[in-house]
Amino acid sequence: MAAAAAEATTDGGGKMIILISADGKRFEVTEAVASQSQLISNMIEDDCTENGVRLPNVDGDILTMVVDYCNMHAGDAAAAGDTMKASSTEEELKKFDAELVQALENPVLFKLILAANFLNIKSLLDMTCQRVADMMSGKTPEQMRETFSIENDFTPEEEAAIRQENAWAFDD
Amino acid sequence: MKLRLRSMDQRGGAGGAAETHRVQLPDTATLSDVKAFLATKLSAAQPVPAESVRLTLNRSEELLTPDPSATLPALGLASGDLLYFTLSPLPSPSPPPQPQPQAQPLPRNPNPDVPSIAGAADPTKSPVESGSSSSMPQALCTNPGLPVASDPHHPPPDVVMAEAFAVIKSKSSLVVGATKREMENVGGADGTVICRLVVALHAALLDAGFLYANPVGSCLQLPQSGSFVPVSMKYTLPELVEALPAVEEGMVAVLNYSLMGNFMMVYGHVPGATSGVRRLCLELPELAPLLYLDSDEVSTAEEREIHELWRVLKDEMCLPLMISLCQLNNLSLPPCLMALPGDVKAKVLEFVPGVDLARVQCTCKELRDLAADDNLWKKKCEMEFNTQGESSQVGRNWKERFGAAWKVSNNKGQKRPSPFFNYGWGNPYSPHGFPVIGGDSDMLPFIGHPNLLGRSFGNQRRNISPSCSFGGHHRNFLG
Repeated sequence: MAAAAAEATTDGGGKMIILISADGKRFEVTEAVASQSQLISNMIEDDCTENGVRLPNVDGDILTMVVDYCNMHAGDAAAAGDTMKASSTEEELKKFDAELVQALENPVLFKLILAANFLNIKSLLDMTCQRVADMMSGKTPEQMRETFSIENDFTPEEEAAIRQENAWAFDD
Repeated sequence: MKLRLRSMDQRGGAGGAAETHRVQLPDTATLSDVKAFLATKLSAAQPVPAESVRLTLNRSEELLTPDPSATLPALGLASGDLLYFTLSPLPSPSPPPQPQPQAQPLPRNPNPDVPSIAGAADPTKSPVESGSSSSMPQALCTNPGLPVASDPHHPPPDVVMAEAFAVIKSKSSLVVGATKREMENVGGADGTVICRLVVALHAALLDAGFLYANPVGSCLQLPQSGSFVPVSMKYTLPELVEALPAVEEGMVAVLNYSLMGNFMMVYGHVPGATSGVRRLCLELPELAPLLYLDSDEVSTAEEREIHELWRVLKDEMCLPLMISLCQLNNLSLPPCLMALPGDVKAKVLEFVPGVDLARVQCTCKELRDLAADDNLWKKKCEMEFNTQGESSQVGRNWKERFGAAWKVSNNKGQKRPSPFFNYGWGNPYSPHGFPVIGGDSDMLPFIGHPNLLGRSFGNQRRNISPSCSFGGHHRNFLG
C-alpha cells in the first residue's frame, strides 16, 4: 500500500513494520496487519523486524495485493484495536475477496499462491487454492491438461490403469 | 440503485473520518440528481449550489457526461459504487509521457489518466504495478486546494478497498493503453478491428515476457489496408534469442491469424513441442467496441469485459505457449499449477471435489500420486457423503468407498452439487456471452494454413471432446 516509507514510525501506539519486496519496494504496515502472515508474526515475536522485513521471493506488484488483502482483513485479527477497521462490513470484505481472486489472470493467481504460501497467510492461501480447485472442477482430464498445461507423462498402460481405477468418475 | 457518497476533502485522519452518505436512487436517476441530493445534504451547514458539486470515482478525474440526461447505469455506475465528491476543483492531470515523440496522439484522449498511461508506456511492467496505490496520494498532492489531512500511509479501510479496486480498474486502462501504444508503433491508430485485435494479443504476449521474433528486434507489421490476409507471427523468449534465427524449431511460438466470417481465428503453437495447437476464436463484432475504447471513458461493465478479454488472451494463449517453450528448453516454468511446490499442489487438491479429484488423477503421474493420499479421500468421504468409519467397510480404502458411495448416489439420481453443471466448458465466473471461444472448444476443420497441418496439429485431436459444434454452448468462456 504505502510505498516508499523511509523509516518505521509509530502511529497512535501501533508499531509499524516495513516490508521490502524482491524489487526493493517498501510497504509500511501496522503490526496487526503484518502479523496475519505467520512468517512475519514469528519474526515479530523474535524481535527481528527492526530493519524491515526483506521478502526476496515476492514481487512488488504481488506484495501490493497481499498488503491490500491484509489491510482489508486486519479487522478480523486486530478486533478492538481500530474502530475504523470494523466499519468495513463483512459484505464488503466478501466482495473485495471475490473481485480480487476472480479478476486474476493465471500467472498472477499462481504468484499470489506462492506468496501466500511463503508468507504463511492461511486465509489467502485457502482462497487462492479454492479458486484453482474451482477451475479444475467439472473438467475432463484432457481439459485439465489443456487448462493448466499439464504434460501427459503416462505410458498408455498407466493411463489405462488409472482410468480403469477411477472409471466411476466418468459415468456421466 | 444504492450509492455511497464520500467527501474527498476530509478523508482519513484520527478524528476526521470522512462521512459517507448513502443514497437510494431510481435507475433512471442522472448525475445531476446525485449532485442535487448532495447539495441538499451539505446545505445544512452553509448553502451549496448543486453546480459546484464535483463527483469522481477515482478521486483524480471528475465524473462528467456530455449528455445530461444519461442515467447512472448508462455511465457505468452500479449499485453499491462509492463516489467521492468535493467542492474544490479537481486537479488537472499533466499530459502523459510520450515514449515516442513522433507518435501522433490519438484524437479521443483529451484527459488522460496519468498513472495508468504512464504504466502502459512500459510493456515490461506488470499491470498491477501501474495501479500501485501510491499513485493516489500523489494525485491528491498535486492539488494545493485539497487539504490532505490524513497520513497517506494509514488510510481507513474503505479507502484501502477503493484503492484496491482502483488497482483492478487501472488494469483495463492499461490494456487499452498498451493496445493503443502498440497501434501507434504499428502506425495505424485508426486500424481495423482485426488489426486492433492482433495488436491486443501482441501487447498481451509482450506483457507476458515474449519477444517479437519476425525477425528479432523488428516491429510488428500489419497489412495497412484492404482485405485481411492470414498472417503468421513468431515470438520467442529472451533466453532463446541467441539461437535464432539459425535454429527455429523449438525456439519460437508461432501465432497464425485468419478470418472466418465474423470470427478471428488465432492458432498458437510451438513447433517441435508435444503440446498441441492452442486456439482462440474471437467474435469481431462483439469485441469491436472494446477495442476502440479510451482509457478515460470506460464504464464499469466495459472494464470487466476488457479485463476478461485480457485474461483470456493471457490464460488461453500466452501462458500455455510460454509453458510449452519453457518445457521444451528446460527453462524454469512461469508461475502455473505444475510449478507450485508439492505441498501447495496437495493443498489445492484438498479443495477439489471427490469426483474431480479422480479425474485429476488421470492427468499425469505427479498429480496421480498426490491425489492417491488416502487421508485426502477420507476427508472427501466425510465432506461429501458424511460417512464416518463404518465397520462394514473395513478393508476397503477410502477412495474405493468414495467411488462406491458416488455410484450409489448417482444411481439414485441424486447428483451432488454437480461438477457437470458446467461440464468442461470453462469458467463459471465469466460474464455470460463473452464473445470468445477458446482452447479446444472450436472444432472447425482448419483451412488455409498449410504449416499447421503437420504432426502437432494431428496429435492434439485426441484432446478433443465429443459432440463439438461450432458456436453454441461450446464457447469456452460461458458459464
